[in-house]
Amino acid sequence: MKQTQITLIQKESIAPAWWHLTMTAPDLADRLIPGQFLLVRCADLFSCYLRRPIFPSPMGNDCLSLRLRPDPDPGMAWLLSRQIGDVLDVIGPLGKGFPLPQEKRNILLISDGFRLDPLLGQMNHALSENLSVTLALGGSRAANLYPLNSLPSAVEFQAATLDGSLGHRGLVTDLLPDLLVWADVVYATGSTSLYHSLKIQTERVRFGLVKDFLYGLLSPPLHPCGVGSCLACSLETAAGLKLICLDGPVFDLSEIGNND
Amino acid sequence: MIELAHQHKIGLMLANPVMIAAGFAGYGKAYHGLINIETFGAIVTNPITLRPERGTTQPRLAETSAGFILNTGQQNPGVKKVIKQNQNFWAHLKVPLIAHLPADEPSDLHRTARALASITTPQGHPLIAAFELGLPPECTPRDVKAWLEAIQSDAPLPVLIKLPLGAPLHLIEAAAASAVALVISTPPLGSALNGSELVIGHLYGAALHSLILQEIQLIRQQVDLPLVAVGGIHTLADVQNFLSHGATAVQLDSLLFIDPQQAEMMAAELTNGF
Ligand code: FES
Repeated sequence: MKQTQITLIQKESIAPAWWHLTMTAPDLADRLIPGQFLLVRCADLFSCYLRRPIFPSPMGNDCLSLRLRPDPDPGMAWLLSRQIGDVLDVIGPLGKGFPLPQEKRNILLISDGFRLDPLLGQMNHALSENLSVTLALGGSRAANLYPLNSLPSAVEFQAATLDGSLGHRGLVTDLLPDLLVWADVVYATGSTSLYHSLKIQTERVRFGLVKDFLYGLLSPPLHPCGVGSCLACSLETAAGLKLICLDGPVFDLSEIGNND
Repeated sequence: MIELAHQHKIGLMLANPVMIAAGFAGYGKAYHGLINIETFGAIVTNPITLRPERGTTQPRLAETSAGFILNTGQQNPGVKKVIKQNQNFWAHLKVPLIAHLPADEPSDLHRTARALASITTPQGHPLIAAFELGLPPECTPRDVKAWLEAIQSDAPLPVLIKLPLGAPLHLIEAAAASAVALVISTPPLGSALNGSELVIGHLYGAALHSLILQEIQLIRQQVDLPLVAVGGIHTLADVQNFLSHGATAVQLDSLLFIDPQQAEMMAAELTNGF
């Protein structure tokens, strides 16, 4: 972990609701594990005093990729208004990322939210090991899902939208019964309700939730220190009090209470 | 070098007047690898109590304009575990460590202080250089006396006292009578929204600077012992401002979150230039 500068070298608007930022980060990029985070200093001390966590993924050539949706948070809005060539002051990589799949064949990646980069980073790992990958995304409508036109053909893609404009009409968790039978391990990013149904359905479909099956990324909007000193990010788990910034943000969901 | 504890037989010598405040560097290890914490004049640890404290429930944090509210309720694993988890790291740390002890039952404080004072290097040097006693907002001179006696009866280390902001004169005098230095101050309470929930806790951020500068002026007129300023220090100019207006040393707080390199640079700057 270090405090360093990264430079925005590419900024694409992915219509209608996404931005894709590419940053060069020679000090960090090859050490960052998908799911780990950086704390970005947003320049305005008044509206965003604390650093903001971002969850990029390494994309080779010393670069980091970050897919963002417009966000009412002033810090994230500041970040989205950066231009090519702008420099960001970051601290990281922080926390524990997704573990590499060990002795697993079928990898399920699932999200109902916007932290897609850790999942796509995990997807690349899995593909390089010749594992089978299914990516399931859910959102309110097709336009809100990140357009993954260029997914490798080896990846099976499933979508769910509330209005039925893409894929299954309903929640992405409706797809779980079949997917959970197939999967050997699940990596998830998104809402607490996604994690909640992942746990409940796993118990139902697989007759119990064992360790090393469900991993989810917990991400409170603010991490004041990111290094375990402020204790703002404490989390109750089966194994006692943990800190999201040190012990997470990726947790084995079998160890996390149902309301988290 | 500055001496914070003139009258004390062990003393408390700092290489520079810039310390890290309680709650902003864990027990020393938190920033390991990110900055060199040995650059600072001293490190005050997170709170240490006799028994483990679970702390408050979530949400603990809310951002404010130019600051934040934080309430962790003294969460810590208890003195035994703190020592177990940090002793090896402390043994190699070349910077004075000041253990922050929140006011507690005197018998508990006594045992906590004794446990901390008894850990030493193989050569027999204590690993803890001093204690910082945190006073609660409501307490009496008699409480202060009882706490001080409890800490010192078996632990011969210097004690700094961290006052609540706006402490009444009789409390300031009681603290000054038994401490080697006063730390000004525990930040005031504030409340702010986290989503729809109100978080009540200490206020940190830029606004503290002027509150503390004023508090230092008032206390300077009342007592004659070293004062340590803490609250909202962000720049070298802020530090100079305190040092030229009554403070002997300062503690950095939220700057550690905002810009740890800047914090380290300020300490380095004053090591040479002091
Ligand atoms: S963010 Fe400070 S302890 Fe986790």
